[in-house]
Amino acid sequence: MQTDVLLPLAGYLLLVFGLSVFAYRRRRQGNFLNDYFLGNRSMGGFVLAMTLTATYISASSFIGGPGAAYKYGLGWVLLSMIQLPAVWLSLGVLGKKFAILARRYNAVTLNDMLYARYQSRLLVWLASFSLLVAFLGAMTVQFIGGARLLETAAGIPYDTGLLIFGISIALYTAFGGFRASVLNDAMQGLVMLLGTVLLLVAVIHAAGGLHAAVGKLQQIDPKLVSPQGGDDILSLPFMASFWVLVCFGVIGLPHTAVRCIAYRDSKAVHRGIVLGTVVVAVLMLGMHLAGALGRAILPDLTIPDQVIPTLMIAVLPPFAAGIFLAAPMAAIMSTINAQLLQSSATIVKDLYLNARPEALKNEKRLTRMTSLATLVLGLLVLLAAWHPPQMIIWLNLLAFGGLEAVFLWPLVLGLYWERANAAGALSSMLTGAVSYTLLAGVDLHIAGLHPIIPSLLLSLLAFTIGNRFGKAASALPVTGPQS
Amino acid sequence: MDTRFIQAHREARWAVGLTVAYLLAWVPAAYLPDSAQGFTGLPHWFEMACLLVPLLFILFCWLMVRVVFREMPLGENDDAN
Repeated sequence: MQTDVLLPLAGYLLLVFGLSVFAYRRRRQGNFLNDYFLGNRSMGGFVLAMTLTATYISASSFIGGPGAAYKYGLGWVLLSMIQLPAVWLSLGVLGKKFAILARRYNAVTLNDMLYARYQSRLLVWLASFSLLVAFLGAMTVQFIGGARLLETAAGIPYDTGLLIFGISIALYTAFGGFRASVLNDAMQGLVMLLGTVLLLVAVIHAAGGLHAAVGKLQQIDPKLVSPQGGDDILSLPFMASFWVLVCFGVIGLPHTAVRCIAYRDSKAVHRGIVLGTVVVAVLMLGMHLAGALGRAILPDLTIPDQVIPTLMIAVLPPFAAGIFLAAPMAAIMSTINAQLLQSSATIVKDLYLNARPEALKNEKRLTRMTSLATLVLGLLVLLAAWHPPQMIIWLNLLAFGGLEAVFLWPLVLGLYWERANAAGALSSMLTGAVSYTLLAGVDLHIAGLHPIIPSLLLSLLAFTIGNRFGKAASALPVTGPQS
Repeated sequence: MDTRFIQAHREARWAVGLTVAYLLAWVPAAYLPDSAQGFTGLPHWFEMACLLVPLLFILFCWLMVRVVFREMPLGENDDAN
């Protein structure tokens, strides 16, 4: 049975490599930075939609989310639907203004945008630092999630799974760059979509229809079919926190923002908004509902995180299970490669090139350095994931929250508040980072709220206060920083 | 100010507005209906908040993009596109 599961998985990995080679060869002569990190701003609407959803939907929503839905019931599906507006919100708010400015400044990374807007080196350093820390944490979580998945579903030992996983991602991101990353995202998005729909149908079928499944859940615990969830976990402050964390806050995620400067034209963004929203809806509903209803089929799993892989093995024939095991793997891979790329962009573009602008002339060296940085980062994360702590899926949300606390206000106010200046943005970033780290570190929940809410309020306050002490940035040069 | 920004601001306001509207529709849909099984077999509140409301808002989102959003050049000149 194991080979049946493994064969399609191997085929899937080969396909991923093939796409990366294709992307590598498509890379044109000329502006390396623009191409490696942005794919020459060539993304169309379909690819934009897929890459955005693929980056949102990470291990936490594919493994942790359905696991939680299994444990707490249909209420968790309600929670997951909070994410529905994420695509139209982030593409709409950052939107065309962000894209127009990015082209005007010739910006390649988020930090280019921040520098062009606030004209502060210190701010770029701070941004780079927090980005690297948060991404290293988030990527480690994803690696562990991936290896665990292979462990439960295919019986591959944790270490081996980690190696397969880590090496393939580091390689294809290092050589293919952004183009490979979004191409893979598009394919992975399709795999996820197909896998989700099939799994949901198979689960409902195996449970003997929706009526029977829900009736069974009610029998196990009436709370499982209530919007409050099992153990009444889904309280008002809990729901409110999720509205901020996975809906309003996603505007501030750097790897979302960078996708907002890489699309081809306004038609692409229009299609991306509609398609992306549909895909998020189907994936969130399908995966979580499958997890929740899975309890009617397999009532006594002890580790909820294993529900999706176990369900796949239970309700699908082995070969199909192998194909759709690729779906959560796809989700994890696409999230990591986006973050990996963002991290190496930060190192090469924002730190190295800022320190030594003359290095820009040597394209060949730059190419090698970038691939090397990506590869080394990937290996670092691999090492970090070697001895994993238990129950770490929440770490992912933690890293997300930290990024939102640091980046949300400088990004949004920088775009829409003309008087925003560097002093305000710096105090906002510092306050956000410090308050979030402290609150999350001591696990303090003021009035039951997730640390993200007080941190965002504090960093907004810090922005308005700090802003009084700074000068407005001088009129921005149209030529932009470099390249 | 760049005239494109006026339109971009309008679109941003709509995106935020639609999100707030979703929040306002989501709350009553989730907490007012009871937990009895509806015709799909799922509880009434689930049918409303997880099926009907999202479906409606996907439609609204499509309408918003069609009616409010406008195509525009994003580069400074044609070759910057």
